[in-house]
Amino acid sequence: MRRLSWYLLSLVCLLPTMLWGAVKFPSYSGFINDYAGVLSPEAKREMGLAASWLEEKSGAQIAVAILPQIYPYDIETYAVKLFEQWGVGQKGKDNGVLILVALRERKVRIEVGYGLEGAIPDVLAKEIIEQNILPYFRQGDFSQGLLAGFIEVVKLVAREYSLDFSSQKISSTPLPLSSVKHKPSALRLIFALLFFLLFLGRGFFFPFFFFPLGGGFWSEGEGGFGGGFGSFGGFGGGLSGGGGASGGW
Amino acid sequence: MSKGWGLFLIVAAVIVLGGGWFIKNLNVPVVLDEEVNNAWAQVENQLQRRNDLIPNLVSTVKGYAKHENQTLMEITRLRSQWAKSASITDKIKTANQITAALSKLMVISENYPQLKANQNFLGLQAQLEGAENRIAVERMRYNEAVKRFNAYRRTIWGGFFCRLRGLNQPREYFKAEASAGKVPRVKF
Repeated sequence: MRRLSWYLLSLVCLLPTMLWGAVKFPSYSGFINDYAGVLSPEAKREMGLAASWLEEKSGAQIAVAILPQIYPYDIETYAVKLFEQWGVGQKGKDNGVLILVALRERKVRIEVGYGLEGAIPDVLAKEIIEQNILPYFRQGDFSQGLLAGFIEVVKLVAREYSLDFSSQKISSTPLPLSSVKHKPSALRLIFALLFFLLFLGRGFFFPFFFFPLGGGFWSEGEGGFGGGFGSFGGFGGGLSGGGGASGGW
Repeated sequence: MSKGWGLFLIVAAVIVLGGGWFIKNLNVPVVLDEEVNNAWAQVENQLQRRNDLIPNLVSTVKGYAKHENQTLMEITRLRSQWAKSASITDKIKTANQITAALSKLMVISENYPQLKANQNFLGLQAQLEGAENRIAVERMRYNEAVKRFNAYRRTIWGGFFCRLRGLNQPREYFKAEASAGKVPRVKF
């Protein structure tokens, strides 16, 4: 009995490292994620509205991430990994776009999901970065630059789904409650408990689960759950393959 | 009586659990191997996409940089060599050579201001950049799949089940050519 309790205790101690040790990327709180605090509330709201409008009409998801730095990675690698981690776009359709800004590196990237590579070819992505985003970024106006680029991306995706995007349409829709600051810690706790129970069940009743299975066992299904309330229901598990373009200022 | 029942239950449980474990693990090498194949198909897609850019690129550069015929011919030759190579090893080798030749071409193009100003060339350059980036992504995913398979194959039970399914060979990583990591030396 004592040995059993030691076993339990060690499991409890190991669990946090197993759960949180693998998470390197920030978790999202909506379509627009400004971890550096450079966006104006108006720009954030406008982009949020456009993103929810597009998702509602077409299912396509456009995410924005502004990070202070992305240190060990270059922007291309970071964008692909973050895109995969968040799962921007619907699973199977891969109709997502991620606009990533790394402030310290002074780099911006539009990462296009597999399903939208036809709608946003690399050349057009490059053009948006060079002509719509960078001129403002060079003057330090991140809100205006990002908004301009974002709207161009929305237009391209909308055209792909034969939708007509105009700013009047979105301002009539109610404000989404997408800006939940962080994932509630209660949700985390519940998931930790769930994981724990799952782990315990496997460990006890099916000891053979501990034999080699080829890895990747715990890394699955991370970061995909929950995400917010209101009109934003989380990203759908889309994937990208390096399509899009990057630029620096 | 109760002792015999207990023994029987234990033996039965061992057989059921052991059998379940055995059957489950028979599938693992096959699934992992197929993941590698799938990832390779993606890599090949993207390499093909880059190869499709080559004719256009070569003819554009040719118009401005007449003295670089050798590099251009080399690229064209490698492209047809790619079409002929069958094994993954060959394809990886050829792809790395194409990467080297194309980056050399891009460096050369710096010497031709008129070429750099050509709208068609700029478009091709952006496309090539995109193609290279896509290849890098799919190569990363392929290498991850290979790593999963190879690591599994080298574990005790993994090796056993791989042999049972006839998948004893490790899969090949897509390594960038050794010279790609070297910093070119500048001589004065």
